[in-house]
Amino acid sequence: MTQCRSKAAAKGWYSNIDMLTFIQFIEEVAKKDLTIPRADVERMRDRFGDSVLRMGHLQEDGSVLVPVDCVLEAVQSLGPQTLTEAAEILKGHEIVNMLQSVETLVERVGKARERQLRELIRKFQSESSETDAHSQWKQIEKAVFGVDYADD
Amino acid sequence: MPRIDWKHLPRNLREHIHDRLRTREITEDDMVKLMNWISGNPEVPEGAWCKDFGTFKLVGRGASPGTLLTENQACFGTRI
Repeated sequence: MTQCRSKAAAKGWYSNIDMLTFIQFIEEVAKKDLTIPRADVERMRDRFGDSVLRMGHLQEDGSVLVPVDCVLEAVQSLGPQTLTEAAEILKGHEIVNMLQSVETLVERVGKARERQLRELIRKFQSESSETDAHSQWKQIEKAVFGVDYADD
Repeated sequence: MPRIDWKHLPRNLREHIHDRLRTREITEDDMVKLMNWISGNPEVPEGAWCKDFGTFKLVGRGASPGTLLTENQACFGTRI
């Protein structure tokens, strides 16, 4: 379990979802990355700027892959009111004074990615076991380059 | 303008980053800068280019990153 996800689990966030069925929810959190389609990426960049790109890795087709565990960490740090507002804006039912909600969500996903990378690097740099250090390095590669390179 | 092919990053370049990060010659802050730069899938010049991250520099040619320079080594190619 990653740092972001274990933090979410520790706070009992998973048990408070009632919008999805249990199976749908498990399917969503089992994915490593969520895809923001190109049209949504463009719409969000027009409104919120390049901070949207710091949520994940921009793909050749213009979509962005966002790590699921970092979305969970960002979401659990926001109150239900803020999340509801953010969802309404993203669906296009926006009200001007709600825009801050999405901006906060976007910013927190980016911050969650950065925090996760920093934690991985600290572990990697202080790890005495070369086997564990190798495993941490593979996670760093995935976070930084967005690629699962074949094991050497 | 080409974009960098991160899927085929040379193994020796990845090993170089690995070794210098492990020994703290590359800082955590500069790795975050690298991650955020890559996240935007940046365009690079067709010819030689150089990107300065502070404790290291990345140099390449077109879509192919070539090597890593230390902070004291001079950039060559177009600075981006």
